Amino acid sequence: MKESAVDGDDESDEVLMFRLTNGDAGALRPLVDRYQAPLQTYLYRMLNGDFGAAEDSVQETFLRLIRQKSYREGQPVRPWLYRIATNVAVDWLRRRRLLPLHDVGQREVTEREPAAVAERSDQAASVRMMLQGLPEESRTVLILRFYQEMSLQEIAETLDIPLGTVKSRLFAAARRVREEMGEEVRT
Amino acid sequence: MSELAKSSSLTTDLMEAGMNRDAAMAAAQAMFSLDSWPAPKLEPGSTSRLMASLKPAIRRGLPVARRRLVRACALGGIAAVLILATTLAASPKLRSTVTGWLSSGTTVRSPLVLGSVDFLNSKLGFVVVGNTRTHQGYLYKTPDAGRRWHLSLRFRTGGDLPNLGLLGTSLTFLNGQVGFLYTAYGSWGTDKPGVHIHGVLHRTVNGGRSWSRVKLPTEQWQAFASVSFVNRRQGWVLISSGTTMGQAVGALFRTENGGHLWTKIAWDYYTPNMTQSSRGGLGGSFNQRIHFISSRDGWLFSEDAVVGPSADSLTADGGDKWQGCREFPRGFERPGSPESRLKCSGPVPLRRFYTEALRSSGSDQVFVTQLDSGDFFNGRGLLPVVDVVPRSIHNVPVPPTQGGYFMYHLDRSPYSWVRPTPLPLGMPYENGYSGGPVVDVQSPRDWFFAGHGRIVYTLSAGTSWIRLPSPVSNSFTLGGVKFFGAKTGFIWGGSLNQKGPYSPRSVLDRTDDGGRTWTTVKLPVR
Repeated sequence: MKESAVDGDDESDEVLMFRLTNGDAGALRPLVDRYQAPLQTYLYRMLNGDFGAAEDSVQETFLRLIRQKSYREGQPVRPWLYRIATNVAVDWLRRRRLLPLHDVGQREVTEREPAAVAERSDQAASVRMMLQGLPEESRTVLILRFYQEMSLQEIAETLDIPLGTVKSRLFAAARRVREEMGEEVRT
Repeated sequence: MSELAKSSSLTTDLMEAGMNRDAAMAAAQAMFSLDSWPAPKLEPGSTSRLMASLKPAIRRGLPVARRRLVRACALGGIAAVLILATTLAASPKLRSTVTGWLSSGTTVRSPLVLGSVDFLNSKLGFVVVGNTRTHQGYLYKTPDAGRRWHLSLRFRTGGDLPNLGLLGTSLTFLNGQVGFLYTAYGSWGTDKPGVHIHGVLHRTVNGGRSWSRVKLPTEQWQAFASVSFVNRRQGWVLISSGTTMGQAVGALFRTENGGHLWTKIAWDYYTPNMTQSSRGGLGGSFNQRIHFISSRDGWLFSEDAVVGPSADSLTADGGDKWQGCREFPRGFERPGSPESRLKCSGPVPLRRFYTEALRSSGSDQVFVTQLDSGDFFNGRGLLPVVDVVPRSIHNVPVPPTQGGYFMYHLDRSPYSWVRPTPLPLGMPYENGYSGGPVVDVQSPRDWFFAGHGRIVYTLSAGTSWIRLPSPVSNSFTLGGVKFFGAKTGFIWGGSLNQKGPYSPRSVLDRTDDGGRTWTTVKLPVR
């Protein structure tokens, strides 16, 4: 066997998943290398800026990937993996609602920070609050489209919803963003 | 993506969602305020920590693979017990004579099965024989049309998967000297769970007098490989999963030096609904294959056992780029198939076809005997195709005007398909072991066609057909037909009524008088 041909670095996600589901644990590392950071940023925003929860959720996402039984060979991995991550995030948020609310994600602005930094922090807080105020479904579509730069079709595959539903949710989310942030941007 | 491109893309999305242009542009612009909420970057070492946290789950095993293994064992065991019990109950006399299983699950008296057959001329030929009891495979060579057989190569087959038989064995001769034989055997994984297929590629450069092994990019996979060489050095191998999970994934490798070094072409493909083919001729196969006719031009075929061909692709640059196609010839929509008329996107309108019936010929003939009855191409790219209506696949009656066999042939310049007059057979297509059509193309105009117990040939690329006497009935499972001129020819396959040392579906007949009389060739016994 020519090892370099199958060591994973140049293999597609689908080949790696095929290897993994056939017991080749060596295929996990390339998948982690590819998806840990994108999932981390995705879950960070899905979980209202809770970095620790995002880290835990990334771990949970990969654990579910290892234990999964829903993957069909050859199925595009990216939307499928994001679907797992979305489910993990939704589970976390639902559990979270049962707990006392506290602002876990908001970073404190210290007095020593320059004004520009503080302003950016304020903007970030506004964005976070605005996103937090969106319905969960619209927020997910917006994050996948804007931050993860998925196509509408990929979002439909990820969330397992019709393309038309993706569009309507994006429409609603964008209108809300414009209402909340539009004036601020233009000034 | 640049901010401008991203803004444009967002605007387009929002307009698609029903927002008017000005509102969409304003909303897209507003969305860039989201950039003011950056996400923290990963800390150094976080990947290692994550991998470490996943290790216990990995150590406990990858459950999917374990479940598959258990399920495979359970299903296989149950199936074996049921079939054995049914057989013994129905025919107690068979108890002492059940010695092996064909891949169809049929009990046979003899462990010998006939695999690939290939004749380079009216005298010189090769047959592959397998012994399902000893798990040995043999390649025999005849210099005199089957009167004498000389052992050319012995190889391992079956292994831990006795049902494997000669499944996956593929014999390819580029000319009288250079040939390749791909063989495979199965084993239960040791370090990795699951059933593994070990593929071995043998090469001869002296007409089969001696063989050497060609190193493959990987020799253990859960699939059979498809191998294609255009000369003794330059070749490709397609590794594919071929599992029954509903889909398949493959990787293509290329060598320029006879297998010393394989390069994985930056290309992976998967085909939906790929299942194990039930149209295996002498064995059955996972119908994913490649065939190259030059260092640049090649085809990839895959076939679905349920809905027919599922993907055909063509390359013109040695495999770096592929162009797929998903279109049935008009009038051949498969009843109930949800993807009956997907269009090609590229300039080359390849169409779907059944790959078990592909042949071509020419002075610079390149031919490949593939997993079942074989694919044949020539260096000029003639690609005759038999297209059939899968009447029995969905058990949906097909109007008579759509039934029967038709041949298409492809001229690569300018890639147009030509459909000659329908073959004068008037027979519905039947799936399964009752026999599909086999074709032998001697030249661009001279084709032989056998199916349902009949043999016909044309000297005019299908304009008119002549019927030959046939030695086989419509219950004969055809493995192939090969003619040299209009007089001398071979036909092989099997009959359930066959008597002799071989299991059913293992017979080779020869004619020297244009089919008026046929003689059964005595196959080698070991």
